[in-house]
Amino acid sequence: MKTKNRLSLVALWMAACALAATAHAAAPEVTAQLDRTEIALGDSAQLTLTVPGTDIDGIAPPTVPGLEFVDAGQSSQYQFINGAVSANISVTYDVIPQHAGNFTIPPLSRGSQPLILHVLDASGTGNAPATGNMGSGLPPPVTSGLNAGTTPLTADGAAFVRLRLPKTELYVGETVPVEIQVGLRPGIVADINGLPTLNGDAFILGKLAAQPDQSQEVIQGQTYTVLTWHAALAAVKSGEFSLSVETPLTVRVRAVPQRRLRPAGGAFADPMFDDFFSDSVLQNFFGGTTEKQITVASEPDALKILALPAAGRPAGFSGAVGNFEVSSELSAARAVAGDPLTLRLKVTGTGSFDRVNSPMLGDVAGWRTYRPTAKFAPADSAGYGGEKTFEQAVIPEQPGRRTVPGVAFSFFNPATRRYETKLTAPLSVAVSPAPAGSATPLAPALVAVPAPTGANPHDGLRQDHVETGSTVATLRPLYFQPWFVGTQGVLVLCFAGGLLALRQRERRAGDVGAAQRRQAAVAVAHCLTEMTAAAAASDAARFFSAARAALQASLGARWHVAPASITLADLDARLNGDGSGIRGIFSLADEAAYSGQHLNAADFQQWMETVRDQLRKWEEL
Amino acid sequence: MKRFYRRWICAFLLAGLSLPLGAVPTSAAGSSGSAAPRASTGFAAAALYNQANTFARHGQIGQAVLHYEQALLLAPADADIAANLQAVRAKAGLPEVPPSAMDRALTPLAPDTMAWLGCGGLLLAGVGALLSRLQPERGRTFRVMVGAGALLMAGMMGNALVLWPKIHEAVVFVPNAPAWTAPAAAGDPAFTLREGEMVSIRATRQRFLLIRTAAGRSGWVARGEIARVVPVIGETAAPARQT
Repeated sequence: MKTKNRLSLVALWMAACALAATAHAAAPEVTAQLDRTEIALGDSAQLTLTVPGTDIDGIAPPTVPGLEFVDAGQSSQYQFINGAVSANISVTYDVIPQHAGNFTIPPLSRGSQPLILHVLDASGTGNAPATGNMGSGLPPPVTSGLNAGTTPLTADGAAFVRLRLPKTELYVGETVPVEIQVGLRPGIVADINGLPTLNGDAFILGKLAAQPDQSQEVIQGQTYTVLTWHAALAAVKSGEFSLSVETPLTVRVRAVPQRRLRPAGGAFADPMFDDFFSDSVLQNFFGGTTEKQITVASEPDALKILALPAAGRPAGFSGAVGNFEVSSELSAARAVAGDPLTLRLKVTGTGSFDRVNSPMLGDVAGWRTYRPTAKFAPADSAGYGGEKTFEQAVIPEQPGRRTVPGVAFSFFNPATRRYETKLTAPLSVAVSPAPAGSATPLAPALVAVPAPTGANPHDGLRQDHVETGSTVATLRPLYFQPWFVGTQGVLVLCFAGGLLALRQRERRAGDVGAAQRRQAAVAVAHCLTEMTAAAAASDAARFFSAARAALQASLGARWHVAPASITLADLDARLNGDGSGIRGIFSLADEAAYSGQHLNAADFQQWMETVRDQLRKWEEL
Repeated sequence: MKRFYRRWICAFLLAGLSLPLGAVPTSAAGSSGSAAPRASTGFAAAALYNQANTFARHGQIGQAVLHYEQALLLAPADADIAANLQAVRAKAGLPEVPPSAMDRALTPLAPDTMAWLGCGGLLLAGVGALLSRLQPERGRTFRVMVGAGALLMAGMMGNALVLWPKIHEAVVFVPNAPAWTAPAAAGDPAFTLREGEMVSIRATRQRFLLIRTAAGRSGWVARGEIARVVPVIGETAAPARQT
């Protein structure tokens, strides 16, 4: 009887359990979670519904007027604890508001709380991130501080590469955190053949982790495995550039036509079977695929890189761009004169830590200083934030209350677009005298270290230069450029031409003298004929006038002057009293013209000979 | 007559000066042969030096050496560039390439400055030669002009002779770049080149360049693995890689 009762109790207990299980299945415990409670209109939030088990049939998005819920994928979690298996399944929806306002998402299971979503007007937020996409009908999830990026699917939808940037205007030397996402469609993408690389030499991408974050994302109804790398991107030079990221992949492509897998006609003619037969898993199962290596690139982003302003640049500026805070400390508040202390300068914040540099203390009265060392402790995997510590050995030389002056650190803050200089507080230390007779030896390492130099203690490089903005179009020197060589050739030809022209001109000048002499000879001959005619006519005035003209023509050609302008005074000046014969003819010509002197034939013949002698004499000269 | 000579010489000088000035390509119009952004922004020694420092800090030795060499081309007397280039080479274990005393003497200024000085020397010598023919009585003065101009031109030519090899030099910017015995990546490479190593380019064939190392070894290297110090029109710049 007892046994029968016990069996009845067990049966009742099992029935109760079965009822409870049925009730549980009918109303699963749904946990709802929003990734954000406030978004801008045009933005989207993510609602994740999680239920225990592996069945999602009972999960449906809530109905909220003004909110659109778009299936964004699902994931499962399994746990093995002491041999027992527990499973949860999560379904993610993109919540896209249709208008601004406050929305209440009702509780999806008993006992849970409603969720409130505040949707701000885009004008109210001012910096609502863009959610443009390409190829995808869904806005990609938005990461805090980074834009959404675009999702350019490959032609076959096998993969995509997405680059997410926090902003599109940077300064030279500025480092910003970026996300690189590579979406791979399982079954089609066989392998990823390398880490994403940048296209372009205006940027440097920091080290990428070998193991990126993994997640699932649904685009156009297809689930993609998304690999996400968090990295730091540094701008190297000024200008306007387009930036993209590319990744080499191996994809499987069909070697046989797709339609061969689907039986023609009959019951499979319905379009609903298209999806089934085009499924990549099914394609792979049936074989007929081959592997192909492709490179997938992200959509180019236009970035503007500004040069650091020259105005207001502090003297100690080392090129650091970001937002930093500084502090300093001494290794001890008390010391003995001659004992080394360690001065630490800590620079914390976000930015280009590779450019963070400080010479620390230089020559300070009462202190002996040594070259500092530096080390960097990143706060994130990308090295965007962290703390850089400079350590410098300093030795107080005299006892007493000594003060280490503050250390200045200058950087450019891209948020304020200005240079900022942070100064640490002076540090005080009580220095006691060294014990008598003890010459404090310096540590060998300190002795070997020279005084501070212009080189960066961290990397051994000298500091960056101020960019003045003057540029050349090409690195090829001018004298190797055809236009410059051509111009020099033209110049050489011009000068050579000029010299030749001068020489030609001089030659022509010589020819002018010969022509003058030829003209003079003609004139002399004409005058001699005139003289002969005058002698025949016993016209002394005409005879001597012609004789003078003949001599003037001959002398004019020799002296390069106009014949008619040669007078007695010119003869005296040029001949220095050496031309008595010529002078006599000139005098007789004047006398004969006014006195009416008469000569006989013998006189005419004598004077004719005299003139001919003078002409021959000058001709010979 | 003298006034006529003066006018003629002045017109000649103006024409001579306007020729090179008018033919100077602007930064925007000039073609650097590098990436498109380079052509729009041009090259500056300070910017190249800063970029080289950034590459050096990120461990990209090849890019750092390339940019230091380019900066040194524009500012040969800059001690910081030379020091950092030496430091990067030493850190990477690359052999030092100290310039000879003759090279240092013939590269006191930027090549373009030397070119303009040579151009001025040509003008000076040419005008001096012309004037000495026109005014022989002042021939001594003009002969000094010709001599000074000839010296400036000789400086430019010496500078060009020193830098001529640099035009054909390139920097390896990938680690262990293979050099092949033929312009094809087949079989085992003849030898490998270290990142940041300087080579001289002897010939090009499709995707390969025939290079010669400082040690005298020759081989064919893929175009994408080395970058010319002086970019050539049509060739793309060395792509950045992640550190």
